[in-house]
Amino acid sequence: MPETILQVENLTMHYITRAGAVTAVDDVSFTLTEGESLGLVGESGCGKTSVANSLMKLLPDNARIKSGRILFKGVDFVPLNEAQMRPYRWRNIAMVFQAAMNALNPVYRVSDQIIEALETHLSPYPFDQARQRVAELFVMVGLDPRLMDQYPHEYSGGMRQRAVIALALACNPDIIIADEPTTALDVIVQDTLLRQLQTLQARIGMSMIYISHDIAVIAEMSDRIGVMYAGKLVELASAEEIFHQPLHPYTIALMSAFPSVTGPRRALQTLPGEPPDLLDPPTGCRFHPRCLFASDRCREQTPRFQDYGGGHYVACWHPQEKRV
Amino acid sequence: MTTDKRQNVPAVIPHDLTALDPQERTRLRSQALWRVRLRLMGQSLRANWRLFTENPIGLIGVSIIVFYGCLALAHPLLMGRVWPPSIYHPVTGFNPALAHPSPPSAQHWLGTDPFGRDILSQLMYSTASEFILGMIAALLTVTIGTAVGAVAAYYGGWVDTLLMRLADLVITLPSLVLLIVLSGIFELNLPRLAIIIGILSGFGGTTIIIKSQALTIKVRAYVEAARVAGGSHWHIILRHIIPNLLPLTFLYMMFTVTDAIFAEAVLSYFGLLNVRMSWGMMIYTTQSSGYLLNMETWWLIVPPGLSITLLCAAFYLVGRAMDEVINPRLRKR
Amino acid sequence: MTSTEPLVRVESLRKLFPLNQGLLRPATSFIHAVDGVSFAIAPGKSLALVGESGSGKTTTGKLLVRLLDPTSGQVFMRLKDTDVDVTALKGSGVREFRRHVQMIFQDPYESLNPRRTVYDTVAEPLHVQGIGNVLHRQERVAELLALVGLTPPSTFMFRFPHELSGGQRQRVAIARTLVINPALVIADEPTSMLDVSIRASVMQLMQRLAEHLHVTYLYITHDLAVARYMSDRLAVMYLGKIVEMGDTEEVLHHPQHPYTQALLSAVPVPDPRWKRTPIEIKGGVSKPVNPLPRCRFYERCPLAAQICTDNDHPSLEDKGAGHYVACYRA
Repeated sequence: MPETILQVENLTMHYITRAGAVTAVDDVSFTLTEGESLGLVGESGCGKTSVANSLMKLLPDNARIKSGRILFKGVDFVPLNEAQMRPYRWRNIAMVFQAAMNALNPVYRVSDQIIEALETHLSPYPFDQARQRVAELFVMVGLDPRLMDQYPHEYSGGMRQRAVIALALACNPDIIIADEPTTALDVIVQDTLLRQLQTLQARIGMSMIYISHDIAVIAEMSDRIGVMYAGKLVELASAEEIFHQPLHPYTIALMSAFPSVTGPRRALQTLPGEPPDLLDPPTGCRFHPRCLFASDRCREQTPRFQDYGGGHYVACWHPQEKRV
Repeated sequence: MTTDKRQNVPAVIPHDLTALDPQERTRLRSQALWRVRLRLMGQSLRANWRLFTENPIGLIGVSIIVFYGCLALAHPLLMGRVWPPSIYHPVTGFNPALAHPSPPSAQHWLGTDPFGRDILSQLMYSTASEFILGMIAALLTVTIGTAVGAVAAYYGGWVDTLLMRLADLVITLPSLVLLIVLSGIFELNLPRLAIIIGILSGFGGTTIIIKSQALTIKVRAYVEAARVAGGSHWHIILRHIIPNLLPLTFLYMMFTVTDAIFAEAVLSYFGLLNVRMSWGMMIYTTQSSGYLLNMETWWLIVPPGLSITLLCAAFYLVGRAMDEVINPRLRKR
Repeated sequence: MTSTEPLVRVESLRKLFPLNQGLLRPATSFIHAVDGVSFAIAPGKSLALVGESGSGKTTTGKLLVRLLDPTSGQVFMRLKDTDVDVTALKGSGVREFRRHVQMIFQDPYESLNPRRTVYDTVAEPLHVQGIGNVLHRQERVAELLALVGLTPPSTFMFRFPHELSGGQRQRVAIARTLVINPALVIADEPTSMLDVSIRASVMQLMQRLAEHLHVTYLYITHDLAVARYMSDRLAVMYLGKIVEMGDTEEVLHHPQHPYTQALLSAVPVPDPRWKRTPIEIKGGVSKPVNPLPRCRFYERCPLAAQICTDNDHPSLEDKGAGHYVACYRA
């Protein structure tokens, strides 16, 4: 029975802006077991990147974790300050950022950047061992080790993204959070990279949280999927169940809104309205203004995130059962 | 409220595409376009003012400018009614009752200069010309800088090269030295000084900065869209490029005012400017009468020196505060 | 439109960008962004140009709309029952031409001037083409806003772009495109920067408008699924050349060019049960700088053979029912 490595309980995080407090993550709970791949899917502004930043405690100055617990192997990250958090970052939990160029410093060689990570988090780390480790990492992510002393701008987009993954893997973390790592990449490069990630994950046995707005990618990369909307987790279940037995109307709408290349050509289902303004979200269930099945109760009461059966969690007053 | 952007109302997708309903048509006709534009301008000015005043330095700058503005406006009122011109006229006044220069007293709040003229009167009188000097120079800079920058950026090629090399030339010339040389060739007075500074600033550094901003605008998608719609070169320059340049040009206008006031002070100090009375002239008078380094006659040099410093600083502070309005990245979240 | 003549005919279109041009020295190195592209679009039958970055699809779109001038080749458009050589137009001829072809841009945040109201933006084509007076324009703009779903129009007319959401901005862009009733609209990835739940409604809107207003689309995208949904015919581009072209369903279900096959096999499928078998091809797409006179796909092709490198890039051959493939080995 695989161990639970991460347990997030009722996490709430908000940004304090000039216009007021924006609750980016609202009462989110999930668990991650060893070797598991959890996909977090949702549109822009749903809070998935905020969740990732909160897990790593990489929050900007005006962001605060209001309540909740983040238990990593029993240790709660939330009350830890910077100094206490640092030993965990990169060594136990690492992140592959969106837009690789933001993570790589353009004036340093790629090898030096990875060596710096090794020396910072696993000091003391002898130099030649560090270089050997970099070569190992490059092979792991499918990069030619002979290129390791080049600068980031000399790499193509796909190569840069692999370098960022190598950087994240440097200290052999237990958990990797990948935040939209393939958004800027072409389809064929994306495919190669994703398969590499999967092979790596299987070989090293690390857990992964994969964040994306692309449900097709999430379908291929995740064992379990969490669907987020307006800062809340609305559904959490195995990948199989999310796609073939979605319960939440938003999940159903999301599935039907995606055109597919294979399979029959069917009409797309559109979702009226727009994602809500987090400064002044709708009352009750955040999705009710756009929901086909909304009732008065949905407007008044916020649905609880509950187990509908067999580990399939939904936050909805009218979960839709009849699906193909 | 038209600025309400709450998304809780779903956007209606028409299932059958019909034309406008009559109610909407009458509502449209009742809105005169110019009236709407005026209202929108007012709204954006108010919003910008709010942003501007968030930072105290903007308010400080504006207060100082308003203070000096009041001084300038008050002078003709005082001269006519309260102050007898024979004594208080800034150039020709003379108080026979005291030894000059005399320290500040009830009669002369800031004392008198070596020629017996009231210092406060001189200060207030000069304020108006300092403002006018600054404004003329600034307006010229803005006009020239915007026009040249926009054209150079838009047309590129040899036009761009020519104008930019001209700008390089203007920058490499040390402006004060040039002004000193010019004062030897022909007589420099305040209006001429304003024009020369305006031209130098306009063709010099300002142009380069504005041109690089114009370049970023030129490649924006909305400019391409305007071209695809059939917009002529002038349409694009006038309606898209210049309006997006104006905030930056107003910013640099503030700095030109500072340059102009300071240049005037320096030239007057050397006695190269043909002006009857200005802050620079006040310092020149002090120096030519031998009182410059005299600590005891502080009232001769402190008022004009402080005014130059304060007014220049005020315009600079306003410029900095405007920068925060224009450049959203500088604002606190 | 009952005419069977194609609306647009592109013949051997080429666009080269010089790389090392000096002040007195002509360039010796060129990027072959579009390298001999030919296709036709029938009225009412949308065509999708699909390719990865560097394939030349966006450049082709810009050439069609004359934001760029071609290095060689011609574009013919059927305007008022005659074929007009668009590439040879000058001056006022170009402005006249612009009444018939418009473009939707990818970024809804960048394609609207932030200092102009929605009215200014949508009325701009009317204004520069000198159509109607102020009152007529206001009504026309309101009509278009209602058509794209921004109702009531009077609320949206005088808003600024920063007061609108991404989906709303793209609708404004669509309204601007259609306000002068063009025959052809080039859509350059109009939904790739929108949220998923908005994407479907914008795509649906574009389709309905196409039917209602008799507009034909040239849809440029990297997303095969979107291309499938929006277009009747599909052309796959690689390094400036079209490698396969035909009816969308035919090309997607029976791809014959190895690149198309590889592309299709790499698209992730939103179904955890589906086991995808991607076709391995080596390397990545690079910029087409001074390409060698052989098949452009030779370096990465799993079917590469001697014939592919002995001859220049293969030309498109009709394999039946309008399905064209450019391959020696298909």
